[in-house]
Amino acid sequence: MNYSGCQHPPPRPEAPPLQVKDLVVAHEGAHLPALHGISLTVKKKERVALIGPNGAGKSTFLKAVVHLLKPRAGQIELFGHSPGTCHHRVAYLPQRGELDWDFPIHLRRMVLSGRYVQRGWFKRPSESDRKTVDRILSLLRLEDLADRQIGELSGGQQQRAMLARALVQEAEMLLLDEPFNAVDDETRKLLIEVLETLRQEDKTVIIATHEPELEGLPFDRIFPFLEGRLVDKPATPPKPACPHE
Amino acid sequence: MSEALDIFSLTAVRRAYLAILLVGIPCAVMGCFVVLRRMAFIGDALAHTVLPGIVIAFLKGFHLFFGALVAGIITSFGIGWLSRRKEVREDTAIGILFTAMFALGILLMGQTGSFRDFEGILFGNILYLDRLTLQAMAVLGGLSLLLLASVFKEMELVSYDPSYAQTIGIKTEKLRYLLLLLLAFTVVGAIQAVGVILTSALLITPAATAALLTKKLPLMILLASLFALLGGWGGLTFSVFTNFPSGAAIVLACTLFFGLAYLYRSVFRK
Repeated sequence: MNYSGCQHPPPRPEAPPLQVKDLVVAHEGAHLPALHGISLTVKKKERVALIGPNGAGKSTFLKAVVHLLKPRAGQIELFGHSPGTCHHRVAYLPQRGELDWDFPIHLRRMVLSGRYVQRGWFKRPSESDRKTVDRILSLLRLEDLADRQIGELSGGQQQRAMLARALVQEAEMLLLDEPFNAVDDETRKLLIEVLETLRQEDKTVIIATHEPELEGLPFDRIFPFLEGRLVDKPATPPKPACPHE
Repeated sequence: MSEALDIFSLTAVRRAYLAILLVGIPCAVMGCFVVLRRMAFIGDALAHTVLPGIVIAFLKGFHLFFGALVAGIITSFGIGWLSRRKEVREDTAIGILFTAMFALGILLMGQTGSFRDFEGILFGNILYLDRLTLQAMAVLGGLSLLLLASVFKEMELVSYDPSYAQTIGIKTEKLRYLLLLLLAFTVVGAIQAVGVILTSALLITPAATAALLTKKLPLMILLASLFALLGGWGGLTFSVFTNFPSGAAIVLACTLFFGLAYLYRSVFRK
C-alpha cells in the first residue's frame, strides 16, 4: 500500500519531469509570499542549477516541488501529475540541519529509509533493497561507516549519507538543496562524480546552490533567483574545458 | 521465610506482578519514542487529563478504566489539535489543557464527597487490581504494541526526519495522532499501576535509562523494557515486604536504574 494511498500513476507521455506555472508560495504564518509567480520547465535528462543568495527562494522552490510547502497560487506538475502522486519519482536532498542527527540510528538503516517509498505501508525492505543500499554506500565511500550512529559522522560524511538516501530511492529526478554547502574536498569531488554518473543514467537533476560553487560544474541551464523571483531568462553556461578537474 | 514466600501465592500479588509486565513493556516502548521526540511533557499531560474521565465514570457507575480510556482518547486528539495551532506555543497549550483538565477532575471529585475513593487513581493501587482491569491492560497494551510494530519504520523515520518522511508521502500529522492515541492507551494502563502523578515516570525513566546506554533504537527498546520490568518488579517486591507505597516504590526503583546507568556512562564513556 503506497503512502499516497493510491496506485502510482505512470508518467504522462511527453510531459516534462517538472513544469511550474505562476507559482506563489508563502511560509506558514507569513503574510508576504517567499516566491512570486515562478514559471519554469525542466526537461528530461537536464541538469539545472537554481542560483542566488540566501533568502532568494531556491530552497522554498524545491520544498514546494516536493510538497513540503503548499502553493498559494500557481501550478506544479511532476511528470504530468500533481506533486502528491509522484513521490517515488522524485528524490529530495534537504539541507543538513533539518534532520535530528542525535537520533539512535546507524547510517545503513538511515540510508535504507530511501527505499521506503518503494515499499509503502506494512512492507519491510527486501534483500534487494539492502543490496542497493550497500552498493550506494560503497559508491559514496561510506561502507566502513555503515554501522556508525549518524551523529558520529563528520559534516561531509553526513552530506554524503543524505545523498546516499536520495540515490537509493532510484528516482528519475533528484532535487538537491545546497549539496556543496560546507563540505570537504573529498565529498565535493565525490558529489561531482555522482552528478556525472546521474547524467549517464539519464536522470534529471535540479541543484540549489550558491553561485561561486558553480565553477567547474557542468549544468545545462541556470535559473537565477533573487528575492523570490526568477530574475532573468535561464542562462546556458559555457561548458568548462575539463569538467572533472 | 516460608511466610514471606506465602505472600506470592496471594492472587492480588500475582496480579500485581502480571500488571507490571502488561503495562511496563508498552510504557517502555512508547517511552522510547516519547523521549526521542522530546514529548515528555505530553506524556505527563495525558496522565493528568484522564482524571475527569475517571471521576465521571465513578459518578455514573462505570468501570474507572473506561472513563480513563475515553478521557485519554479525547485528550490525545485535543493535544494533537492544539499543537497544530500556531497562535499559542505547543508546550503552553498543553500546559493549559492539562492543568485545566486536572482541576476539573478535582472539582468533580469534590462532588463525590470523598477524595479517598480516588486515592488509588492518584497514587496507584497495583495490589488491588480486578480481573477486568488486567484484561483491559492486556488488550490495550497488546494493541498498542501491535499497531506500533505495524508502522515502526515510518514512526522511526518521522521521529528523526519528518520533512523527508513528508516528501515520500507519509502523512506525518496522522502518525503523530496515532502515537498520541497509543500513548493514551499506554498511560491509562499505567495509571492503574502507579497512579496519575507517577505515570510519566514509568513512561520516561526506563526509556531515558536505555538512551544513556545505546545508540541503536531496537536495542534501546529492549533495554527500556528490561529496565521497566526490573524496576517494576523490584519496586513491587520492596513494597510487598515493607508496606512502602507500591507506586512510589516502583518509580524509585526505576530511578535507581537511571542513576546507575548515568553513573556507568559518566565513568566508562568520557
